[in-house]
Amino acid sequence: MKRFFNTLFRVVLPAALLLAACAPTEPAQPQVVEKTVEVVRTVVVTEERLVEVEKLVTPTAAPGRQTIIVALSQAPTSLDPADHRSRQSETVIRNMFDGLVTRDTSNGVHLEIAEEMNWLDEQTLEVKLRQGVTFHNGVEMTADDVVYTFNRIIQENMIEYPDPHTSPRKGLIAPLMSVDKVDDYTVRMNFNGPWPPAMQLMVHQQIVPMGYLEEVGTQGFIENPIGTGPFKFVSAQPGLEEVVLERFDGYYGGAPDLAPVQPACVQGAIFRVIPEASTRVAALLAGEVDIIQAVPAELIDTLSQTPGIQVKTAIGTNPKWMEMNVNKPPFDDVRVRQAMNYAVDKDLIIEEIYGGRAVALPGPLSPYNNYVNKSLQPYAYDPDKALELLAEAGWTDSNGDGLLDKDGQTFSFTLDTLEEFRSLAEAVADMFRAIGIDASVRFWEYSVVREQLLAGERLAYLDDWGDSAFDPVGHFEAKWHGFQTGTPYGRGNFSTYNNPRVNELIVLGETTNDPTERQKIYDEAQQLVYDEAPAVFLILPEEAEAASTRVQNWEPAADGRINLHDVCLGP
Amino acid sequence: MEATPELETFWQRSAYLWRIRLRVWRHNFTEFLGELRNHPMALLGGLVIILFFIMALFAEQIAPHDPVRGNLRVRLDPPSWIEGGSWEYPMGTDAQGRDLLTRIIYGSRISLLVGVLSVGASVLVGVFLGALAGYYRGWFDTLVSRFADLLLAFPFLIFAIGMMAFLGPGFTNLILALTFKGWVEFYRLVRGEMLSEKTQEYVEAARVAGLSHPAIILKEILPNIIQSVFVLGTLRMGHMIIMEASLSFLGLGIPPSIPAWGSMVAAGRDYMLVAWWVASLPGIAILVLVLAINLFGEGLRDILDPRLKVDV
Repeated sequence: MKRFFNTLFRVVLPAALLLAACAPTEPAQPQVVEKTVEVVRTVVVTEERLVEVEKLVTPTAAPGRQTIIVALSQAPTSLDPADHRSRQSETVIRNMFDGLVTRDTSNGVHLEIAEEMNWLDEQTLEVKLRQGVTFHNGVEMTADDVVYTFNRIIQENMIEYPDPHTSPRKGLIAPLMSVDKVDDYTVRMNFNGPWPPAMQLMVHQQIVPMGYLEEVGTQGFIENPIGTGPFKFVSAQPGLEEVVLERFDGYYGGAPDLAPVQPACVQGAIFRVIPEASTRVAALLAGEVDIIQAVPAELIDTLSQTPGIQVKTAIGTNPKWMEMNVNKPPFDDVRVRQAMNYAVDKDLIIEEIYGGRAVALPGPLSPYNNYVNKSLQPYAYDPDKALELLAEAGWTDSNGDGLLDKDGQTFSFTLDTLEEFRSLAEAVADMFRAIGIDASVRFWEYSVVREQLLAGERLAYLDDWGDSAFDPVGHFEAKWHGFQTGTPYGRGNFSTYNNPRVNELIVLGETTNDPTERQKIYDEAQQLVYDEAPAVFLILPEEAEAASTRVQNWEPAADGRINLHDVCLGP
Repeated sequence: MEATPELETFWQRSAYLWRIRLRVWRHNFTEFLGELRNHPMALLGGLVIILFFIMALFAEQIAPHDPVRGNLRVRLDPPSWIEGGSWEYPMGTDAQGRDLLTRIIYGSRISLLVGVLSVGASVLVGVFLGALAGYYRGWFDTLVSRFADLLLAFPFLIFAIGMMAFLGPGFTNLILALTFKGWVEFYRLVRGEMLSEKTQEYVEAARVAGLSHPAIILKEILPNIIQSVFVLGTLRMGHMIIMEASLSFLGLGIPPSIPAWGSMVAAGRDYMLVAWWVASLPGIAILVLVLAINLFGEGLRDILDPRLKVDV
């Protein structure tokens, strides 16, 4: 019996570890060593956190923690406002750095560091800066900093660390040619032509301190970043798994339109990365964190009924689709691509997977985009029509095995996607299987699959592409313009779709100022993409965030940003 | 007593020898079954293993639903014994509305196949190299032993993760990755046994009788140590199954379209708070099968080779 228990423990332990989402290691000597290392590391982390919290909570503070802790779903990639392309980075950065303009939670753009902005003509923007704005090191922000910030983004190879490279945010402000200083508090921005979405896209650029950056370089800057925002940097874990910020008492108050205009309410903020949704929720329930990002749809109802927890949703800005390689069979036939659109029951997915908190995409743009083509309706769920179109294209079940085939080839493909889209991708694949297409799902790392996608080596890819500016620019040219290396055009074009007329319209739309004219241009472009269906246009889910009820004055933003400036922590 | 058979030709002699061998084996097996009665836990383990094998072999006949096709309308339905569950889906459904019982049944195929194939391949490689190295020694022994030491320096899982990341997910690659390190244990066992057996008198006798070296290895020594290999093989099988589950859990093992227990646990962990069964039931399946294999393996060790010290 004793032996039985020995065995039981030896076996149950690894299996239980597996259950607890931890992969067991070999119960040999090396494993002991490894575990020890793990424990030591954990202890170090705990100690560091304790130290930070002690430092931030002054003895005069109200009872209860006055440092707000936010759980992010992914780690930020950088704390340099000019050197990232991720929403998580921007969420953290925009609590430390302010821009010329900012956006409220309902997509209105407001002046922040800029006091006044005037278009002198169609392509010259004069910006008057607010006076008395200081960086966290006490130096006043002037026109030099603004000129430096934009030059660092638009000029080639301005970021020298780790290797000289051009800012990945250049594409977000591509038409900006140069920035001139007029006087200490005035700059002029020269664009290469009319650029309608300038205001919406300027929100995504933040001002950095010239003097400090020139002194410490990019490497020194990302180790200890300094901005003009409501929070200043204290420390960060390697890999930015945790970023600790402290209130900046010298803050000018932020956008005057967005009350309250004063330094931040809480004494500090900690951004902690918890990749797994259920762990994030558990951390919120345990009171370890105050706000969590990306609440999975399954948990929204449960969480909102939990006492002490509030769940809020914002309209989404991450439309999702399955792009199909238009240059490879079987998807080189437009009838097949349309059939794929008819085969997916978007309403069922919205109802069952997203609990009704999503809308079907009417076409290549989100229905909330300012220039969506209002005459387009989402492809209806019509499996019969799908089969009809497939039969026209030559795909029928001629050998009676339940799968479609053509010239002896079975209709079979791999649907590539990322782990985060698992349930959507599997549901979509299952709907293809229902009409006799052998679809299987494969999960990738984005950095690995992206190269293959742009090279046209994959067949079908499901993912999303943010359009937080609510303008076709930043989005349309990335997904549906032919791919051109080194330009923003087609940088996310994973279907290898390349229609000269659409390309032409996209370029035209970027430089047309008249809204009616612009609408016409984008209407035509959307209609073309809709008809040629380089993708199965899927859905746009709402963004849901949850917080403890201690968190006051908090509202999730559609662009995914969590602005902690106005947020207070109650008792 | 039977009459002395004709032993004129090679075939006649062979047939005679085989008849005797079979009789010995049958005797040993009957004795083994008798011994098993004194090891109830091993017996239980054996029965559970047989059950899982039957499940895997007749998955098409047993499973109530399709393992791949789902029905979103019934997604995350609870098991039948919980309120809201139905007998239509005895163990509930996963996030795609697929029957969990069906997927667990089909998943046993992958687990058992990986266990048997990876251990089988490891045994082949390990015994072959171990026998040569232990019998002939020399530079071959040094070379292979140092390489084996090198492999032993890596924790198995870390090593397998690296190999799978290099090879890419897939069934064949998984077996390759597991075998690439799995053979070392068998190599060390067989080499060690070889070293001690080599000095035994019966080996010297065989040598004097004029048997060639390969014949001594194959016919004299290996039959004497194959029981230890068998015991170790059984015990390693549970380990290999956990390896496969861990790798599939990490998305590096079996492609997600094929039901495997490890990837089922991985897919279910997002729903832990609302639907615990999606991750837990495949986890329990892993636990039960591995527990059964190890109980059986330990019993086997006690019966066949009490002096062997193998840790699970």
